[in-house]
Amino acid sequence: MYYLAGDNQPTQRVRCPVHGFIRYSRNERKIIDHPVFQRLRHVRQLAMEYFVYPGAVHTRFEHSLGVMELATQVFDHLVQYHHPEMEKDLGQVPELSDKPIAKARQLVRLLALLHDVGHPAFAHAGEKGIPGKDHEKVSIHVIAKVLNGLLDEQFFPGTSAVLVRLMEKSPELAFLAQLVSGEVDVDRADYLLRDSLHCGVSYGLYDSAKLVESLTLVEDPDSGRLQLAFDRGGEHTFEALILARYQMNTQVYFHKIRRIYDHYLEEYCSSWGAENYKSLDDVLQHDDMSVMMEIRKDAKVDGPRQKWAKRITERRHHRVVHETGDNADHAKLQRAKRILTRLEESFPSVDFYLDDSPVSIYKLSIPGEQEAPQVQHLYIKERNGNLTLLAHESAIISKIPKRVRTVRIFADGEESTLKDVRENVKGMEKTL
Amino acid sequence: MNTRSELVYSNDLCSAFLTAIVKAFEVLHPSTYLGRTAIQKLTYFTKVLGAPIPCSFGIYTYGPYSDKVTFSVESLLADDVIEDRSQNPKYSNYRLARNAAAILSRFANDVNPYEGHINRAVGALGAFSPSDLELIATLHFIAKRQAQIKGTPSKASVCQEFKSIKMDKFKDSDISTWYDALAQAGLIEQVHHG
Repeated sequence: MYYLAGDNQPTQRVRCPVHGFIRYSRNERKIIDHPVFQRLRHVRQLAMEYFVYPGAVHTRFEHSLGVMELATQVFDHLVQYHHPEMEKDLGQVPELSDKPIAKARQLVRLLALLHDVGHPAFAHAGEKGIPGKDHEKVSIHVIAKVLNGLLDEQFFPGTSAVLVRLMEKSPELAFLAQLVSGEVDVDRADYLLRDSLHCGVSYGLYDSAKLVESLTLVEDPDSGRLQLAFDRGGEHTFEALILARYQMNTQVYFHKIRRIYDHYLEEYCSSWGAENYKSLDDVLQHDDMSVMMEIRKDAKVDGPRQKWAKRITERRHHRVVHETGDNADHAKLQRAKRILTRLEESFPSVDFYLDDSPVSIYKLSIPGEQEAPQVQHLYIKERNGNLTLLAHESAIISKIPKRVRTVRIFADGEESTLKDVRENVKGMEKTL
Repeated sequence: MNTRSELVYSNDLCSAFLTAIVKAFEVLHPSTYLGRTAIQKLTYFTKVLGAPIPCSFGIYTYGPYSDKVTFSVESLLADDVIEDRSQNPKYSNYRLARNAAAILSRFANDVNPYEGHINRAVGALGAFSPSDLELIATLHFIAKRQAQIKGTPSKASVCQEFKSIKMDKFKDSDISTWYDALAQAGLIEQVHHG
């Protein structure tokens, strides 16, 4: 194994329900014990998904540890087979010219550990209320301005600067950034398994041990830099990963109840954040628990946030009256809009909300696409060393939608009126 | 919540910037197709010039790409802000539609100060074919990467790496011409001699 000297040996350990024991060093413990990282113990991974799946109360804290573990497994597997190429490639980064493998391993672990450190209370649902509306900006702030001294002192000079460049996906750092955020990144690889476990569903399962074992490095024919690829035979694990991503998005992350509570949280946090998040440091002073206390208070007081707060505390939500399905195209989007317009005219007493939830499942170019913005190649390394495009070889990938977009019309009103709304929608769905 | 505008899916700043790019394209390149690849690259370059378009681009194998732009184009079509006038279903040709004025007016204060940026990017690059845009995006990508690693790169250094990546796909004269066009548009920082 390649460790930096001193207190960087993995002498500590913690149990993880997904990966078993996760080991870390005394120096890493100083980061884990820091208040900005401990805050993640109280930021739930899936906001209020627990209204649908009661077990989904796991947090960004354990996910971050899990990503660190998985990133390390992949890095150690790659270094076992590609030590000379990795040393040469990573040595091109000035800060890594001395001990490139040991430093890169440490950087990958720290990047994985800290990738979510800037998430505000209620994670993505709370993002609209923070300065810049992007948790990655807060994560970069934490690395560059809060933990920088500790990082540079405990590990090696320049650690925080390289981590910032990795967070910004600087192309000079090639496959290291790809490892933590790319088509086969360990962030998604961890949360699919973890969210499945805690929700009690099987949609996100795939063979993670085989995924790690199947990864290899190849020289990208375009850039000449090392990039992640699969050994022949590993492509089926990747297919399972993409299918898991598709299923989890449609069945869990975009569940109608989750979506409507995300809407209430977004509205609440936009207003509350405007008053309370004056700087990026303010974001780090709060978590789900402290903001939930504010929601409870606001639910009892007349004010602009009361209606959102009461919906959350009283668990009183809008109901779906129309939805497009998972693959809303142009025609379905327009039909939903026409239905909404007519409903608003016919039922002025009902409160309608249109929810639009688009997400990308993967970004690989697939055969037969016309004029698609070509974005990424992922290769299979054949036994003779030749490279084959995975998306062209796989009969599965091209059948999985690249993007998912679901539009739903929610309504809230008297139960008898909602019954009329639903009847009305049934008629419109046949004719519009 | 009961007052519904025509902009159900596209009532946001990113969509407003895309509409402004389509508008500039209509004026500057009235007879050229504006398809899915072109709108991605033109948005990317407009952002490179400094327009605060709220979308993030990932640098992938073929250069910059943004999910947000792809979804915004679908939203603009659904809201009749833009329409696809292509007769060939394999290709797109986006032009302004009946609700364009509404979004441009709503976000005028945010978008109009960057009209110059939009016109520079669309004017310099809008007439290029998707293949040319691949060339240009790759050139820009290499220049940006070299600048990050070793400071402002020379034209020779950028073109040499380009040749090693794309082999014989593009002519030397085309590479040189498009490099100069990028530099003239201020999209590539040049080494100044003497």
